[in-house]
Amino acid sequence: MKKVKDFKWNRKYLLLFLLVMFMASSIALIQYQQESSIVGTWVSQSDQNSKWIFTKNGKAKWYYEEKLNYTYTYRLSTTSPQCGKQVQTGPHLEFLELTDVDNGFQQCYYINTLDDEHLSLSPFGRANILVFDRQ
Amino acid sequence: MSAVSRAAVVLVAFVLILTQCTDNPSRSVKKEEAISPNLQQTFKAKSFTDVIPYSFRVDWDKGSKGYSEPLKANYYEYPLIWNDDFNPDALAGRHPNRLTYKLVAIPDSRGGATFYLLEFLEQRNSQTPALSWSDLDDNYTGRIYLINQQDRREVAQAYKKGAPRGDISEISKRQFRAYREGRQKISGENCIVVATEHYTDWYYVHEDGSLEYFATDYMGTTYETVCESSGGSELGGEYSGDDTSAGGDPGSGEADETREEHEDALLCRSETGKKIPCRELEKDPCETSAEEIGDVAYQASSEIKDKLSLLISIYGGKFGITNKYVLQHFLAQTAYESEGLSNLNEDLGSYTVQNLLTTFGKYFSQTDKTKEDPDDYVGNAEKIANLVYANRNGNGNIASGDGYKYRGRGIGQLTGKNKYSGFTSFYKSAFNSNWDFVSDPDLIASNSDLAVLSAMWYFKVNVLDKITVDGSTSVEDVTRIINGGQTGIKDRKIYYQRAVENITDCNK
Repeated sequence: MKKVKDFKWNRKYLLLFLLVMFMASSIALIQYQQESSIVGTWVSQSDQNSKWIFTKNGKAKWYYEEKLNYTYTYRLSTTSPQCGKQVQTGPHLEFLELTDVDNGFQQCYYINTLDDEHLSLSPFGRANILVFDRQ
Repeated sequence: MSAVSRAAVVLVAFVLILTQCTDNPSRSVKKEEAISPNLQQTFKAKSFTDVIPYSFRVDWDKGSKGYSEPLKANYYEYPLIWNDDFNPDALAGRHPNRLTYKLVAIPDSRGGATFYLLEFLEQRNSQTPALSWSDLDDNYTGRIYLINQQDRREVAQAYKKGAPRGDISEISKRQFRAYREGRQKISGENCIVVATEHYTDWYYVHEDGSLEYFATDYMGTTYETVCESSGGSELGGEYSGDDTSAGGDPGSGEADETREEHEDALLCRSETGKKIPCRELEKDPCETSAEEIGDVAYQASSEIKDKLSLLISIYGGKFGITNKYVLQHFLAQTAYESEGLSNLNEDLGSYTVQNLLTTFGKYFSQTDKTKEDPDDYVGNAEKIANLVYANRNGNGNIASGDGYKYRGRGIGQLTGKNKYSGFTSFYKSAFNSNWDFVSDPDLIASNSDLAVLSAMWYFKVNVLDKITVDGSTSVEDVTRIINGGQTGIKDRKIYYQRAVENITDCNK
């Protein structure tokens, strides 16, 4: 009788464990999907010579006229801080943080659009918008 | 004549003599009683030319005698007669206060006298008749200063309805530099006049040492004339006058442009203060001419070129623009960002439905009901800005309207409530100003001084405070900070190349 009871308890814990695992993997999957969607080659709509390439290994490279100018690590998130400063968070607010691999220089952006075709970014504190087409 | 008649005549004569001998400070005195003719000859009006700029002579026939408690001495007070149209009387109606001067002479034991100028700064609404220190009208409200030939105020008193309110002390002096709109032709050269407004703060000094603010005097404006000539720019010129934009209390002076050489220095002077060599006016290390700026940004209006030139020349040092490399990059970037220094307002664009979906896909959708329908926003830039820029860069929520309120302005496109707040703090501190660009952001675009200064501030805070800008700094390095990307790098390089070719020496 005790064994049956223990089994029931164990089954409860097992289900709870599986539920937690499912939720964690779902969140990870969502994040992965978000990050994976930025992976690719993006060409600036306003200046076709400007090309940004985001790779799966977390690197972003800026090319201009096929010349590599800067290499960054990148991070997508919805949390504060960004670029070392507290920022407002909330619905629609997602951030891209770039860190120059050579000197640690950081740049942060609000992501306005990120889908299969377009990437739109607003640099923090600036009026201009950078819109890219996926290549 | 009977004895009675003789007695009456003697009595009348005695009364008359007695009346003449009474020390009545308010009545007129004959000039020989007031001060000896020799003393009049020793007086030189020119000795007060550093105190007031107006040419005058003394009306010795209308003197009055009085006793000065602060000076503990008898004195004589004489009206002044102005020699030309440039005088305080000609300013009547232009200032809230009435400015009157008199000469005061305090005789000494050797038959000479010490001379002072008595300055009445009377509130116009007190409307007293002819002013006299010795017989002050019961309605007099204002201030009275006794100024010596070294331009020092020996007495400074405030009055209300004829009663002294107490001594006041000059505690602090402030100045605000601005420049006069437009250009002026002086001696055939194309010149711009930079004005410095001078203010003095006055306080009651209580017995316990505490201070109570009393008033701020507008002390006058000194003008520095920056001229463009074929041989380059030169500084100089003398310009005394009134700037109607001046805040604070009254001043005096009518625009009266003259140019005067004094040894090797041209003089600038205030209306009420000393002449000083223009070369002694504060200069910042990176001067540049409007012509040079025009060679970098062809589309720039004359107004923006002039203002950039002046503000960089005057305030460049405050913003780290201290060498040609910084100036070259600053001009190149601002020229690109403002379409050749021609656009002071952010172009919020005329978005189509497709534009909105492409540019702000997180906010708009035609299928996702959790997002906004772009059709409801097309053609309404304000509504779009309030939606997509809400909760960013310090902005409040959609209802706050901050997204549109703090849109890009000025030649550097100052954007977001955080930046407007940051620039306000800087401006208050640097220029002793009360302007608040958070509450009145339109000033950044409507006032071309601010359109330029806000860009200089942005460049300092976001570029110069983050990287070293020198001869090895690339356009790409500056562009990625200003633009966040590489947009327009080719055009930026063109502007930069022009700047390199034309801005060759900040310090000329």
